[in-house]
Amino acid sequence: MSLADGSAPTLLREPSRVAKAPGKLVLLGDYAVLDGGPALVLAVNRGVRCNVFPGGSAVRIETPDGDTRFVAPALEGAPPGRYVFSDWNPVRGLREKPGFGGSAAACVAACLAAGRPGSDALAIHRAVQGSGSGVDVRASLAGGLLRVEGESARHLPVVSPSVIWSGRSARTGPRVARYLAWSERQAFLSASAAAVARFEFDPVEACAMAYAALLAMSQAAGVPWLTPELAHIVDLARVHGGAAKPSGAGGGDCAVAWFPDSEKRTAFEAACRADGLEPIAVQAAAGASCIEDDP
Amino acid sequence: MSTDDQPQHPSASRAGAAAAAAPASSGGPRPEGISGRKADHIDLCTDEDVGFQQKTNLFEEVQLVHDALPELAVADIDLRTEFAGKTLQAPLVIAAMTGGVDRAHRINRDLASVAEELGIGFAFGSQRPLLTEGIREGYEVRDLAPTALVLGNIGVVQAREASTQALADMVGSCGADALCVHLNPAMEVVQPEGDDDFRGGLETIQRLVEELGVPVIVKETGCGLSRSVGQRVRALGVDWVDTSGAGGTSWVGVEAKRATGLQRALGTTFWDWGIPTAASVAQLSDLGLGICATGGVSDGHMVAKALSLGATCGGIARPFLQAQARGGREEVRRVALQIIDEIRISLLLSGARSAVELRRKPLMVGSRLARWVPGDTRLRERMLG
Repeated sequence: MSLADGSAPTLLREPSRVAKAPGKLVLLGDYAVLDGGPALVLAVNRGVRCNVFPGGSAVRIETPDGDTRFVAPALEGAPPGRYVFSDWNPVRGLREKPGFGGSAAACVAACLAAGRPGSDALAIHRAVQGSGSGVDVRASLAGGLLRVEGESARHLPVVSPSVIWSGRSARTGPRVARYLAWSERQAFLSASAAAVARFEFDPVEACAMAYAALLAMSQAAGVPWLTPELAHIVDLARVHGGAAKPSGAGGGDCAVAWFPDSEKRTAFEAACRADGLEPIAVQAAAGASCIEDDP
Repeated sequence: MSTDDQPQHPSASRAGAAAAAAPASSGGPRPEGISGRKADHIDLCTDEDVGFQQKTNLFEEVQLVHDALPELAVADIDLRTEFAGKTLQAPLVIAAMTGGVDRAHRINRDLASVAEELGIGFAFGSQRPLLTEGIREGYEVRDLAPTALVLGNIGVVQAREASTQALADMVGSCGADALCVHLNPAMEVVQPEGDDDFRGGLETIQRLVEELGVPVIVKETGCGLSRSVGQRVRALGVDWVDTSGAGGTSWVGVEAKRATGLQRALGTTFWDWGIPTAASVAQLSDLGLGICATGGVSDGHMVAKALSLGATCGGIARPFLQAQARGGREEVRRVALQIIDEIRISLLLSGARSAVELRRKPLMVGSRLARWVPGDTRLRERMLG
């Protein structure tokens, strides 16, 4: 772990404050959410933690990779001390980040650690990223399963999809840019909304509907969306009686899958494992929090 | 597999030699330039023995293990798969071999319309005539195949010299879903009009991956892709490859037939150069690449063997070209249905409900192919014997 300001680490001691912010998985409504379409976003128990060690005369930031872009603006004016960011409940053994919205979670954790409203992260994250729907920040703040549509959001009963790591990280920005440059989005938006509406009745069918809509969109818009690994996961889900789709912008990261029963899901996950595609255990998480004097 | 073409060589004597050696086109007077070369390719591939002389594609070294109790009905077999971003109803691509000449128009429209009807893929031959001369014959199929997976095709040498926008326009003009970028150094060096500078290929591929806007499929032209090439293009962000391995049509041989003098001698020497198709599929195991197995693949059983080795789908070229010559669209359709049934029955008799399941079944691999299988792959673990 590097020190952003180059100063030496202080002696080990317990933090006086710990902020935790969950990550997210987009279950449905990927891309369409950029146009204000409905989306389902699940806050998950893999996010970012910030331990605060008060003291000194300045704010010092430590992040695992030295990147402070999403946390430094949130910590402007914060009380002096060391703000040490780390992955909360990281997935062991992955060489790359699985795409659980780490930058948004870090931004939320930074706001809470600084003692400011978590909702400040919406504007900060958007300003730094330059684009995006903000659903990752909103999921991290609210926790649980959110149905987001435009500026409105409401909680739904939490769900537990099967989550499979595709083996590589994806860059969201170029894909989003290509999507936004595509002008014929109306039919896709309708299809995406129909999938969201179908979800509470039949998640498997809803996932298959969303997959078909996204696949057609990616072809029409020239968005590189489906990698061989993700395609293989979709195939595996299909032959095990379920449905799968990439979560988020595609091109890598994770896929989410749904099955009519736990037996089929177990068989699917075993098949993924046998093919070198690792299932990742995730649970729905409560919203971001900040606890004083947490050991 | 596809026909290939190269920049016009400045030497009039080489080009003239090619014209002198080329077969007479069956469709009338032989056209000049690129179109003439395309006409040669159609005639040679349809009528003459341009297969590998000694080398096979090594699929005879693969044996799927029979399951006498499959507990499946034929109707249970799910052949759907994803390739280059689209869903195929069966893991099959009709790999066209031509374009840029009058006769290619009817051929490709017949092939593409069958692809549309059956939900399989269709790949153009080289589109250099479209890119460099605006020749559209043979590249207008979207009206007959509005939803099929359609793959464009250009040589890396031509892509290197072209702007990304020009290539994007070419892709857009024929409605391709993805662009095959073919690597063909062996063919180039024996082609009368061929190129002899193959630098800048990786840089070109990377540029297209980043800028083109449709998936890039890296393919060979009858000499196969090695593991090293697979690793290098994978590192550039390439997701899809087409083996175009040795053992089917020898494009070196095709060019040898068109050449005279030194080029013909070179073509004879290197006629059988390349990595057999089955070996190429094995070489590309576990690299995270979606693989289309082409190169002498001639029936559905062979496609199933390729799937078992790790391919996502199989591509067949010459049998479809010959079928079209025999009986037009209906004959192409008949052949395609037979191939799909052969894939289906191969899966059934292996006890596999889908290609995904087939790729987890054990298989018997003979020693000549086994030597090509990398040691640290799941394919190696599944091999019997």
